[in-house]
Amino acid sequence: MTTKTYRPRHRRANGFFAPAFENILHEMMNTSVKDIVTQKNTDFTQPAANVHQSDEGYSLELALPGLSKEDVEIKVDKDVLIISAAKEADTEKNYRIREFKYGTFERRFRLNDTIDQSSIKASFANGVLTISMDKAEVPQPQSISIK
Amino acid sequence: MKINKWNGLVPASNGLNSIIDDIFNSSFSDLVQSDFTQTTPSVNIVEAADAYHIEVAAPGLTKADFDVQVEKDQLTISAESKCEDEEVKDVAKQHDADKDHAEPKFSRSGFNFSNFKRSFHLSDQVDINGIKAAYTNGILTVTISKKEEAKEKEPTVIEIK
Repeated sequence: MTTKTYRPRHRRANGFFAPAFENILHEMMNTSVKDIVTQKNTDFTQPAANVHQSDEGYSLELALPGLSKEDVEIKVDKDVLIISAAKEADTEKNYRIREFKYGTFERRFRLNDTIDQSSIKASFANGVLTISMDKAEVPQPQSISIK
Repeated sequence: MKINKWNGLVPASNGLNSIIDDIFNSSFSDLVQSDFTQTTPSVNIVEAADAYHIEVAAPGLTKADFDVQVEKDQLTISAESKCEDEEVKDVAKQHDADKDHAEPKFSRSGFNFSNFKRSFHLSDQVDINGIKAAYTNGILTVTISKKEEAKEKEPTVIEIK
């Protein structure tokens, strides 16, 4: 029996609550239980991700303000796309209010077999890392002649 | 005589393990099946000796999208997307079309800073004529210089004659 995950329509938080509460809610919703248990990176802000789908492929956007392309590392391990950075936080500045702290993070995305892994490309502009990938060519049924 | 073979209590290997794996290795948002779209950017406020810096984390925009205004003692930073994002509209249409579809296509929206407004109160210790803003690497930094008397200075040493 194969399980099929059904993803209902996502809900939008469009600023009904105070920004501070929304950030807490966002952090709650986007931190994995594993990270909390292993005390990993919980101080740093976990970057938000957008995923868009088109007929040709997918594009993944990761919000990384304050980082540059030299800070980010992208790997593909079998069928998992791993995006990470390990930048130290600025300790010199005196923060009166600190709502975000981008620097060290790791996010993983599972790539299903409809994706052509050799077509994965990444670009970085204005604090957004965009990773695009094409859908794999569906192998056409082949007919084999009988000799 | 028919002997009924019974496998007994077989550990539900693949099924249960993968559920536990999923719970502990995916983000809470995967479980809940929703990513709250962050539309209000986070800010950091840094105090330096001679100025305050407001860092607004709003990646994915250009400097022309922002609007920084000062009215009396209120500083308002906002962005307004002039044209509707075509891609976002298409994704929304796909969602509606696929509700009856056998296989739901999925897209996730985690952030979209094209429309926001945040205001800050300026104390009378700052010089509202000396406000500058710059947008680099997805962070808009608004620098507000402090008035002369509010700046941190070395303590004056008084000589004893």
